[in-house]
Parts: sequence; structure tokens; C-alpha cells
Amino acid sequence: MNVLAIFKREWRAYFASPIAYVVLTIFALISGYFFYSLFAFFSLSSLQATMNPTFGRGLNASEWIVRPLFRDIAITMLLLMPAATMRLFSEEKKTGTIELLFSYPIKDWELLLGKFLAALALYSTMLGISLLDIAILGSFATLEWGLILSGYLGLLLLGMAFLGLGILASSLTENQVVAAVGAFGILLLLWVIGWSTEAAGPTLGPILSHLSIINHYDSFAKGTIESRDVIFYLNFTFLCLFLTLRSLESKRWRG
Amino acid sequence: MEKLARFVIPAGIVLLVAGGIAYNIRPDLKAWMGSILLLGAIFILLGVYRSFGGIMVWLSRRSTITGLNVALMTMLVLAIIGLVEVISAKHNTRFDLTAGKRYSLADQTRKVVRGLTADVQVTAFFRADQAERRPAEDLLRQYADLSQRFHFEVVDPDRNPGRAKRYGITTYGTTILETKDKEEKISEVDEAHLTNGLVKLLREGKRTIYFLKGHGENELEDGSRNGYRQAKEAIEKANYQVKELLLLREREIPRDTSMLVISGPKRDLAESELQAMQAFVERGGKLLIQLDPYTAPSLKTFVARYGIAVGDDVVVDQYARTMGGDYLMPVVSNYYPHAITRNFTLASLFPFARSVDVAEKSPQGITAQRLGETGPGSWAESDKGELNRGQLSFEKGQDREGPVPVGAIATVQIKLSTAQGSEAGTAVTERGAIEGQAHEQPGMARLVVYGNSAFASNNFLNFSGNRDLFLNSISWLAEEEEMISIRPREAKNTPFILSATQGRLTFWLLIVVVPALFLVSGTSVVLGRRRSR
Repeated sequence: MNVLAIFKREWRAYFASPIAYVVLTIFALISGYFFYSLFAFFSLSSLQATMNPTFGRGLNASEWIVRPLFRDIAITMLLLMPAATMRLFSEEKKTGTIELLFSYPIKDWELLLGKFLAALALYSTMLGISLLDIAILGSFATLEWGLILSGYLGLLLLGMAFLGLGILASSLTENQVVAAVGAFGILLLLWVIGWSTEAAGPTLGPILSHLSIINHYDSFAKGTIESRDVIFYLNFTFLCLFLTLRSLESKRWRG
Repeated sequence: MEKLARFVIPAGIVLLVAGGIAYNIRPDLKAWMGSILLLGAIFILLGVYRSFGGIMVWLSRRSTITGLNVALMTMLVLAIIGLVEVISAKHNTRFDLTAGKRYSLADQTRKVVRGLTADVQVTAFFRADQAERRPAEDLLRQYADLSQRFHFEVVDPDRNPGRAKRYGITTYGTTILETKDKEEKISEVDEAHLTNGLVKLLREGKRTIYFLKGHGENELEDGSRNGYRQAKEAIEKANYQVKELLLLREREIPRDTSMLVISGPKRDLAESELQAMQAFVERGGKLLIQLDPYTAPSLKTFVARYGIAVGDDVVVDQYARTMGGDYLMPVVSNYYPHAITRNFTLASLFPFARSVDVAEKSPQGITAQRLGETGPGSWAESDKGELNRGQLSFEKGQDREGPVPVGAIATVQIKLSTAQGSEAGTAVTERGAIEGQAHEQPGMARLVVYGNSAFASNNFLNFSGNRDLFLNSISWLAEEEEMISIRPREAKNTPFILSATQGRLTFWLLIVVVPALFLVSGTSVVLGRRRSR
């Protein structure tokens, strides 16, 4: 029950401050723009294909629009999610309300879970906006529901990992800017770490590639679900939340 | 002194870290690094010894104990997560939700890969920024998921020129499949190529290539400039057995022959040999014939039967001089599309060659095709006297004007009555390549004829495209007819064209109206709250 109470409190806080609106507006704008350009380009390619039959092979709306769209959404989330999580603990630390929360009969994990779920709900709302794109596309072409399903599942898992790291960063500092920039920086590093696979050599290379947060997402975007990718995101999220709990605890024993 | 003692431990740690970093940068300066590390360790020990009492007090503090506890617990959780990651990466389950399961491997592939009994190492050579690299890597990963014996690595040939050189990689995307003692090269990474490559690699027993001897042919064991030892080694590496055949002694070409190579005979073949060769072709045999100018006239007549016209001439190439050769080393840079010359970008060099063209009209049941030709500025000199005098000039009407073709292939449809073992018919074909029954059914006879034999000699084999041309000819000749066919799975075509109105509607709705809705509602809520305060 406590989790639900925290969830409601955080959810209301999101919409009482400009954060939720800014994040939603920017996301709607960017994802809308990405979709529109992919959509228009596909239509143009279809038009060209009618004039040159050899060019039209494999002109599949799911491959050409949905798959890149999911990847674009993932990039957008990389930018926006640190903003959505930055205040979750930092603000409470700064204003001192965290002491108040600690004095309530709420367990740390309940507090954490409530905040995490609220952030996840905001994230899901953002994903919900992109359903409009899918609906528009669906009125023009037959959609591959399997691919869309796996894409959204991947986005959800990826989002959990983003949120987990964002919350961890927020619990470590009372400065919201530090929390946001720190989370973004580390996520970006984890995003690009796979690029140096080649240079890192045969032992370190596969490890770096495995740590890359986006490499695990590619299979979802193309319509397949791989158990190792699901487990990677769950593990990553769990580790972040575990460390957040330890960081909250430390306030009590460090004195 | 007391003040100084406080810095002993931090100084020791700094020294340790610095030594470690320095070692990473210059591993050769071991002794120097070692002394820094040792000094660091001594500093720390000294510090610990001096403030032993203080450390004990700090350790017994409650917060320290709790802190250590938490650190230990964190380590444990990290270890467990790491373990789960390692296990999950090794044992992957995959669900393909795409229409038509286009990212799943075919049943044949699964059977082949799951049945691997020896370790297979696959090395794919792709440039780091190549578009085909990602899909290839994905595909290889799927293979690796099926069997612990399948290992793969994707290598950038530009960054690892040594490895590319070792495998003779000349085009991006070339992939080497190897077991301990065999290797197989494929030109493209897709499921059909990869699976068939595996099947070939794992085929029990080697197929035999015979080199004819007894007429002054190129020597297989000769390691000198003109010898064929490197060519022999290259063929053996490609998983064939190479033997010599003295046909004068045998009555017919051995049954286990998958291919006969006649490489630069200096004397003519006997009538009985030609008859044996004809019988060989008629039962679907494969022949590679390399004829140097002014030699073996009977072979010229022999190949003419299969629609290939060998000229009594020498190809002269004026521009070849610029590449450091002389007039008689034509450079072949223009190839005709064929399995042998596919993806060819490199020129090949034919030192002292004669022209090889297709006949104007092919006999029935035979398809002949040119393979490659020299560039402009070359011609086929038919006056032997001019050659002997060393004064070559192009005489219109007498000499053939360039470009001059120097290689051709022919496929010969086998008449069923003459083919042996044909009663098995289609049933054999359907059994598939896994059983490796290729030699039992006749199909087509194949010939490749070049107007030169020196291009594959030790001296020239490794000259740009020569090696590939030679080995591709061999593998085309040896090709099994019934490769496993795996249809490429492509996504369905779903094109659509937007009208101008639909386009504008989408633009306004997604990029203006929806974001504006959120913006307006956000602004009104925030302003409302501010006013109510």
C-alpha cells in the first residue's frame, strides 16, 4: 500500500511541475518529426519504385519505418530520461523532505519502488504517444504486430535501465543538474562503449560489446526477443536499484 | 615528523597507481616499474605499521563495520549478476516475432550446425563501417547460439592487414571457415553460403584433383619461379587432394577424379589420351586446360569440339609495359560476369599468353562464355617470325585487334545414354548435399580454358588477381550441383504513396498539434498553480 501512496505522490508531483509537460512535449515533437520523415521518405521510395521495378524489392513498411523509428525513440529517451529522474531523490535531499520520509513507517525499498514506478509510468505515457504514429502507419500498410510488440517490449526494458541509472544518480547527489548530467553521461558512455569493440581486442572486445546498453536493443527492434537481452536489462535495472538502496541506507550509518 | 607520516599511505597509493598506469603504457620498462610498485608497497606498509593503533580503532567503529558489510554485499550481488550474465549470454533462447520468421535459420542449417563434431572457426573480413557488417554479425551469432563448437570473429582487414594477407583476402566480406586442418572460403555472408560452406568444410574425405603429366607440364613439386608448388599448396588448403596422372600408362581417367588439370603441356597428347579425356567429359568430367602459345595442337582441336577457339598467336599488350612487364605480359582487367569472376576488381597478369575465345556458333548442348580479356592497345600477333625477330607491330587484317580474350568456359550437357549412373536420376539429386553424393550423378561437364599456364606459377600466383582467378576456376569446376538451397527470406513488399493532403495532415498532426496540446496544457497548469499561490 505504501508503494501505491508514494507512486501517487510522485505522479502528482510530475504533473504539478513543468517537468512532465516539457518532457512530453519535446518527445511528441521529436518522435513525431522522426516518424514523419521516415514516413515521407518511404512514400517517396515507393513512388520511385513504381518507375523502376528493380528498386522496389524489400520495400517493407515495418523494416523501413517501424524499426528505425524504434531506434530513434530510444535515442530520444536517452536524452529525456535523465531529466525525468533527476529530481526524484535530489530534490528531497536538498529540501530536507527525505528526513521526513525516513521518519515515516515506510521501508526504503517501498519508497524506491514507488518512485521508480512513477517514473516508469511517465515513460510509458511517452511511449503511448508514439502509438499514434503506429496507428497512422497502420491505416496505410499492413503492420507486423509481432515486430511492434517486440519493439515496445524492448523499449520498455531499455527504459527501465535508463530510469534505474537515473534514479541511482539522483540518490547520490542533492544537485539536480549533477544528477541529470551524470546519468546522461554514463548512459551515453554505455551506449557508445560497443563502438570500440574492434580496437579493444579479442578478450576485452566482447565484454565491451556486451556492456553496450544499445547493442541489446537491436534484436527487439528487428522483431526478435532474445533471452540474453531481456536478462541484461533486468539485471542492469536490478543492479541500479540495489545500489540506490545502499546509497539511501548509507545516510543512516555514515552519520 | 608526525605531519610527514600522515602522507605516507596516500603517497604509497599514488606510487602504486602510477606504477600500474606506467606499466600499461610501456610494458617494456619492467624493472623501473617494479621498483616504483615496490616502493609504493613499502610506503603503505610503513604507514600501516606507524598508525596501527589508529587503524584498529577505525576498524572497530560501528560505521566502518557496516560500511565494510555493505561493500561485501555489493561485491556479492555484482558477482551473482556477472555470473547470470555469463550464463545467459552462453545459453540464449530466441523468439522470432516477424512475419514469415525472416530472422530464423532454416531447418537444414540447424541440422548442420547442431551436428558439428569439430570446432569451426569463422573469420569474416568486414570494414568497420560497412553496412553489411551488422547483418553478417547477427547471422554468425545465430549460428554460434546453435552450437558451442561454432566460433566466429569479425575482423577489419584494413586494421589487420597481416591476417587478411594470411588468408589471401582481396575483397571485403570474404569469410574463412576453418577447422584444424581444412579451410573453406566464401564470398558472401548469407545463410545459403554459410551453411553450404560448412557442409563442404565438414565433408568426409577429400576430393581428388589430378594433374596430367608426361608432356612437360608444370611441375607440382617445383619450388622455383616457374614451378607450381604454391598453386598445389593453395589447392590443398582449399580441401582437395592433388595427385599426378600419367595417362599414357592408364587406360582411362580414374573414377575418383573430380577434376583433371592440364597445365602447360610442351609436347602433344597421344590419341589414346585424347580419347580418355573425351570419355571423361562425356560422363560429366571437369577439365581445366592451360595452353601456352604454340604448344599441343591436338588440345586446340579437342577444345574446339566444346565451342572454345584457341588462337595460334601471342597476345601483345602495349600498356602492360607501364606495369613493369614487357609487351608479352598482357594485363586482364575486364572480366565477363560469371561465377568465377564475380566480385572481381583486381587485374590479373598473363605472362606470354595466346588468345582463347568462344566459337562463333556453339555446338548443340554446349554453352560457352568468355571469362576475361585484355585492355585496348593490345592485339593477338599471329606472325611467329615477328616474335622471333623481336619486332612486334600490329598489322591490320592479319592480327586480331584487342581487346583479346584469354580465357573461356564451356558447360556441356551430358547425353543420358552415355552418362553412367544416371539411372539413379532425380532421386539422388533430392537427397541433398549433406550426403555428399555429388559424384554419382552426371549433370554437366565443365571446361575452363586459359591461353597461358604461367599465371598460376610460383612467380605470378600471388600477383593481384591471379590467385583468385585460379582458385575460383578450380572451385567452380568442383562445385557440387546440389547445394543446399535456402531461400532468402525477405520482408513482404508493402509500398504506399501518400497524397499531398495526407502528407500535410500527418505533418500538422504529429509535429504541430500533438506537441502543442501538451505545451498548452502544461503552461496552463503551471500558470494556474502560480496564480493560486
